[in-house]
Amino acid sequence: MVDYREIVRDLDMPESLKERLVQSLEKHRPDRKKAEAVIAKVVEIYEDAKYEPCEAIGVIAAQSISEPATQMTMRVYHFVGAAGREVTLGLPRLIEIVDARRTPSTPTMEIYMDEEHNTKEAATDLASRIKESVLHNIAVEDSIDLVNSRLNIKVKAEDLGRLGITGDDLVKSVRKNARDLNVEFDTDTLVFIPKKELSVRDLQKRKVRILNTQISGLKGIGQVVVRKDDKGSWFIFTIGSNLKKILAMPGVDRHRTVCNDIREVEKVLGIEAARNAIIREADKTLSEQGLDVDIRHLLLVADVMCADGSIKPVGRYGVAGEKGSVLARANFETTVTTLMDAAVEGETDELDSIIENVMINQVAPVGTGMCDLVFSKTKTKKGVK
Amino acid sequence: MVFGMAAKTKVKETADEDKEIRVSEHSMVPKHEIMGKEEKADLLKKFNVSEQQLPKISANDPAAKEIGAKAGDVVRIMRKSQTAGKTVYYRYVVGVSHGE
Repeated sequence: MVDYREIVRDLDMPESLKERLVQSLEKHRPDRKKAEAVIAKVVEIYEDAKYEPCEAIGVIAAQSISEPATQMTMRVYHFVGAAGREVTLGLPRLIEIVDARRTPSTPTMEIYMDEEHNTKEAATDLASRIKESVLHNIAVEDSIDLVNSRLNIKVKAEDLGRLGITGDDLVKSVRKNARDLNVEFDTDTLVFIPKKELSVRDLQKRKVRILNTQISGLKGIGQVVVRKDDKGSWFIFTIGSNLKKILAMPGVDRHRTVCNDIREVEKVLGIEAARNAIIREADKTLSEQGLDVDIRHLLLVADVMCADGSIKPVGRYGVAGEKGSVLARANFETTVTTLMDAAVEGETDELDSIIENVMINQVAPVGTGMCDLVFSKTKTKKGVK
Repeated sequence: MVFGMAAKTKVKETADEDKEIRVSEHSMVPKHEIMGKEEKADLLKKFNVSEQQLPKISANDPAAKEIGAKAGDVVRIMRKSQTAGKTVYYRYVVGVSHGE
């Protein structure tokens, strides 16, 4: 029996291609000579399919993403799932990704549960604990006692249990927003007694502030929905994100939990994870719209955005704006400003890149234009002249 | 005064570090490893580049911090690729992050 894996191992080809080659060879079982002929043919086709050195792949990637993106504009508004949560999709989302916005318009998270906690109950419990709640959400009645000059806020005891907090926790969290009031918790009512005389109007002001105190959950997590994916894992879909805190929570699967805020991923998990997030998000956005863009183009864009160690937007303030050549920058956007600034700085342009040479009508260094004649001085001295 | 403030922030950062999660557990973080001196020299020779021409990674990057990479190291990153199965990428560790 021929060990196909052995023959294929040292080929200069991607792992996945080798794997597929081995699989199909094992299916048809040719003898060694035939197998080698097949492999030679595959290598030949692979070499043909590769880009030649100096091919302008950036332009190809730009076109391959932009053309389908023009098809997106018309169908922008979408609701995700039955719960009616509106999430930015389509062209606005794609622009958001390549612009590397600091805050996406709808940050979302998919929080997976670890193996022990992969039940609806555990997921629901976690969901209620992470959802940001303010006192306002659980207050059933608030009133100002004019006779005693006091503020009463009544809450439901079962709501406290649902959020997993006690009366003492409640007092503790409201206290920071009510420094000049004494707080007491009496069965189901929070009683605020002013430390010094306060007018009714002042009490009213305090009341508004107190009702907006965060009492449980994580900052930023707005809505939570518990769902089950097609593989049977429970996960929590949230609007709003707080990746760092969520990953530190017990019961959360630290392997699969993701967030769509690329800057946040960069901060918490690093630049390589951010690169993966860009690819994931861009690919998701395009395929959701039924657009078939080869992932290789997205890989290239993500690599360029992350090459510096931090995320750079594609555009005037990032990738395009950091080009070495003045004319290349002027060609992109804000021509006059760029040229003026360059003149003030006294910059020089070596004319060694593509767009400058297009401007001055010379051979641009792409493809076959990349070739140069090399002249050896030593040979000339020997009398060739 | 400015120095005093900087020192204060630093202390706070180190205090937070203890609570930090292990980022290498996450599916989106590929395996990072610091390259030895010889490996590094071979790499630079193979691609005929200087360290500065490699893609960069900040020394403050959570994944770089976890393996203890210092400015001047080269990190080898074993990426899982949707198209090629496995790919290897290299990043040069720099002290301060660029473009911020």
